[in-house]
Amino acid sequence: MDMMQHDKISTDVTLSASEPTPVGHQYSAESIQVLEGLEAVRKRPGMYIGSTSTDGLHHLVYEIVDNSIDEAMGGHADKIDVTIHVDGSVSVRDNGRGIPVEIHAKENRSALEVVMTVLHAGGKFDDKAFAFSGGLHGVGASVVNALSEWCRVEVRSNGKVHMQSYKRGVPDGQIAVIGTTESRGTFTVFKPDTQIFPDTNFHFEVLTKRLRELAFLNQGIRITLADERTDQKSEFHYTGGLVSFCEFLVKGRTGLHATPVFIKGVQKQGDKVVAQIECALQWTDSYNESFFSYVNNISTIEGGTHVTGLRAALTRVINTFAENQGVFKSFKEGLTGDDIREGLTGVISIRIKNPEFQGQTKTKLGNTEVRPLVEQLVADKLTSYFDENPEVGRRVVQKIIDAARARIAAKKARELTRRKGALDFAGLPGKMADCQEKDPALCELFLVEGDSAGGSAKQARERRTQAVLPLRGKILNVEKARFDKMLSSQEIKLLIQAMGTGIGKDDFDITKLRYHKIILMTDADVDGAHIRTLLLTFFFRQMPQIIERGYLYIAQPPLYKYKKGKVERYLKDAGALTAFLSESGMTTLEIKDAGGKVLDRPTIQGVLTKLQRYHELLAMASRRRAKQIVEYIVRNDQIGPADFADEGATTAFAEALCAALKDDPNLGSRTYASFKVMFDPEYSRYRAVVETRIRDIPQTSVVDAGIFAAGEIVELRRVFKQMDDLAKAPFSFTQTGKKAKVVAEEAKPEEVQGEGGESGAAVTETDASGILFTMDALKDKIIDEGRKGAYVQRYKGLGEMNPDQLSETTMVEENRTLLQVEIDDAMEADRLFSTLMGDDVEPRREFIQQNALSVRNLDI
Amino acid sequence: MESVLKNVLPINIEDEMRTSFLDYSMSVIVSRALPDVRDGLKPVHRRILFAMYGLKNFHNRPYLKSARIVGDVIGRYHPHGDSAVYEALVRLAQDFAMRYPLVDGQGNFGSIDGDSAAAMRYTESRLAKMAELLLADIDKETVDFGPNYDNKEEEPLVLPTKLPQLLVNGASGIAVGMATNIPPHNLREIIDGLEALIENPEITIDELMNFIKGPDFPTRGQIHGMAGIKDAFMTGRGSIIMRARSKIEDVPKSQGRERIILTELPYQVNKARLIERIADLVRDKKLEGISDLRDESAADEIRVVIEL
Repeated sequence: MDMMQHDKISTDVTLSASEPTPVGHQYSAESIQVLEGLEAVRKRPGMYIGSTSTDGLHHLVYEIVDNSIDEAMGGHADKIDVTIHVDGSVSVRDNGRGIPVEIHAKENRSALEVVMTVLHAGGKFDDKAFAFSGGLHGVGASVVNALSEWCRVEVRSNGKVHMQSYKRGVPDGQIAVIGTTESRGTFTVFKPDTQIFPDTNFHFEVLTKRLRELAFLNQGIRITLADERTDQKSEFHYTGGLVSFCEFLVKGRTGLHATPVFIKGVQKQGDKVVAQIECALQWTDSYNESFFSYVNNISTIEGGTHVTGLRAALTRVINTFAENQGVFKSFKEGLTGDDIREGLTGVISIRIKNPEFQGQTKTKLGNTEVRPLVEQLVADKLTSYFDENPEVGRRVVQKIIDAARARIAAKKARELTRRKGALDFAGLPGKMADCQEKDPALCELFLVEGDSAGGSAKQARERRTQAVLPLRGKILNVEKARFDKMLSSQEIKLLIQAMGTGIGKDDFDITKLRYHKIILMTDADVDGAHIRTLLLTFFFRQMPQIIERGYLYIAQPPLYKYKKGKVERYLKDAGALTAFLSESGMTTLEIKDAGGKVLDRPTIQGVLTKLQRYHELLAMASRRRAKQIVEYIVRNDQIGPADFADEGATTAFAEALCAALKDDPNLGSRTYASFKVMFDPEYSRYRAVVETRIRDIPQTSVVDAGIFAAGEIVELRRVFKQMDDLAKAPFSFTQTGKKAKVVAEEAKPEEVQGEGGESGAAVTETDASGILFTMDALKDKIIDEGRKGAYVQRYKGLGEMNPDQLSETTMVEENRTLLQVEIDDAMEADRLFSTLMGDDVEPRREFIQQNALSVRNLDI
Repeated sequence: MESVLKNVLPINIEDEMRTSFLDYSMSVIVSRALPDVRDGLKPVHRRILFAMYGLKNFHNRPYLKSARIVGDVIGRYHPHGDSAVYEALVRLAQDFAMRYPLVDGQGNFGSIDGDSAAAMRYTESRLAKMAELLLADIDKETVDFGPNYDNKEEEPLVLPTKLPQLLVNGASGIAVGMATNIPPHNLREIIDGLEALIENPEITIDELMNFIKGPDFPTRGQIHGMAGIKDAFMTGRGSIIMRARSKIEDVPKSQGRERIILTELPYQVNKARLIERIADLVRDKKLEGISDLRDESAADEIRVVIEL
């Protein structure tokens, strides 16, 4: 954990400042100005970071990362580490020069403090070093600081570690030297303010996407991203720049040429560079275009003049080349832009002085001078590429001609389906059970797997608003089939007709969609999962707007069936099952706590809920150290940062810890534990490195004062105390109810021996009564009791339920839960679909091998 | 419509794709398309054999209707379609598909011409003697058992086979992202090889090849070149090229005209389709010099006549 002892340092600083207020009074006038400046940021955060939604939240990270990127582009840094911490803070570490810490002559404060607290301060206004900056970029660290509950910056330079921390933009104290170091760079950690952001939950995927883009767009930088909440880690390092980007996108498809075409050019005015254009293109055997564009590192999702320029050039060059090759002698229909771009994968990144963004989301480039610039450059370079590599050109043209032929064939096929559709839209008689309502906003369509489930769904539906379309067997994988082949598939045709939207780039009309909820309802077995992936592929590739508008849903049929005597219950998931089992387990058990007090049901329920929370927290806190060590610290609540202040205290702590571990009978006699105490010069404190082998699992754990900064220990102690207050272990139980009496008479009470083992082992058992030593054992006992005599089945097919059960659990609005399908990252999703569903086997095998262990439901 | 929002949770399309795809592909890999290396069986085959064992449908007992066996397999162990199970059962009985058939079938069990077997209500089956070697001692706690799909019964996770089933009968299967193709081998050769291996656990593959010369197919035929076999034995990957066995005869009562007679076909070549293909090639003038083509096969003898 590199989250430092926030508390300790700030205490030191307050002492040294020896002022009642954190800000020294000789600076008061300026301080007020600073506050005003940053106060404005807090008042209108949207002006600085776009919004306070998730986008704005993640923008905070980009701001800090952009500073590091600038360092790297200047050649001073090559590594940026971004970490999402357990308490919701994010840190960014680079190995650059570090923000200057000397006293700023004009401001009479450290340069660091100026950068962090004054708007528009910083080294970026130097025209030469940072010539191209986009959009919001450059508002800098001060805005992040202002919008953070707390923020801390550590600058490592000239062998020293300098630190300053802030609360909501206001310095906690003077900049201070807290240790010595051999490394250099800036380390910023901040926790977004919940007063500003309604949701302060960072998403690993969102950051992944942006950081990966940055690593592609800024050749050579090594960016790592780690999420301590889930232990996910990624590294982005691409030496090839846009060529790597293009290859990354192509992965999962087969390129028509070995390496992407790379085009690069600059526009100069005098000897000043005013525009930089880079572009990488590769045609593949896929049927989809995947193209991404950037202006000054900002993604232009809606395209703009640079994209139109590129497209115009492509059409021109390809048509000329095809003409020269004599292609049009045998193929007279002509090529469209869509033909040319089928299977094209590419990236264009330009850097210009004053980008103007337009469009709904301000992601469309408006600068008109860019278009001819790009068009000319690309046309020139691509023409000479095709001249030098005519065989590549021929292959590309062949592919384009195939695309055009398929388009023409598909058009005919489509006209056919459409004509039929117009005449008898109920062209699905018998097949589909439509609903009575005509308003799409109120209508729902269930896509059901197989006729056997379709039948009960038809009976189970609410006929006014719910329509049912049963699909036979596995539908066609559209990722592997071209458009015309897709249209010849019976099930796909049915699907398209049911949607009512038409299909294909020109024909698809989302406003004609007949249902605003399209619900995939497949069996809960692995073939159901497969059909779901096939349907998702169809919608993602052919009707993405349905997903984008949030019309696509996945039904959640129950996973478990509980049966005991005449009671039959369907339970949604494992959580519901546990809750239900413990509820019914409690009815036949009487439980007393250590004091002999009978626990009522709400109390036990409370303990169980707390216990679950406790285990979740414990799992998080135990990622980098042995669980038993964390539990030791939690349960001995006198242990605190003071135990790591000097060598003696740390040694004493570690000795006690190791002794406790070795003596713990629950861990078995073969437990081994030893430690070393080391000095941490960067933070001037001590750490204990503990080697353990518990149940034959060797582990090295580092414990220092940092463990208290992350908040988990505090939270764990709080939850543990709550549990302890509710009920104290050990517990005793006796069975109640008719049957129990018989059992109880036979069983003789047994003497308890020693401090028993964990969970199961801790039950001194007769079936009717006994002692449970831990909370975990209590929980297991209750659930066992609930399971007794009951028959719990993992339930799989929709057809297993009667229509009324299906209706009640899965279809009726009040009870069901639906999952709404969203696309967070279109690029990543595009790649994933190619990998999983595409023609190329190798990447698919790689995916399976890498993820084999995270499989959830294995059908045996 | 807005009223239902409370019951709607968002899900990222990638997460859904990832988990669903993984569930499916791993299940297909682990428990559908690929055989267990220990007993060489895919789950469906193991369940068929175990269900037949449960029915006491042994080689020295009367045949049972195939439909009864299929019903037991589906109802007790294998919750899938009946036709898939029946096809698997039929294959176990075909002597041109299995080097050592595991099921003894009565009735039409299909032919090398690709004719399918009679419907399961007509045919009858019982375990082949060989298959009982796979099941021997199963009741003596030799292998682990696990619950079946509805937790009502137990089924073996693997059979305690005495037979090196994977090697002698081979296996082929296409899963997701990976596939397998293992040819059958001769039981005697494999046993000689195993004895050699037991005597010298350090034995090299080259030395083993003195005992196990290569695959041995139920349809016989000729293998061309040892290199492919060696690649397969050394690395697990190799392509083995096969050819039909043929002889050349004089056409009786003709002036020196000859004909080619095919007497053995490569493994898993469909004879009817082969003849069609030859006929197509002749019609398209890609093959010349063939004047007539006849299938004179009968009973156990393959005889395809190509007149020149």
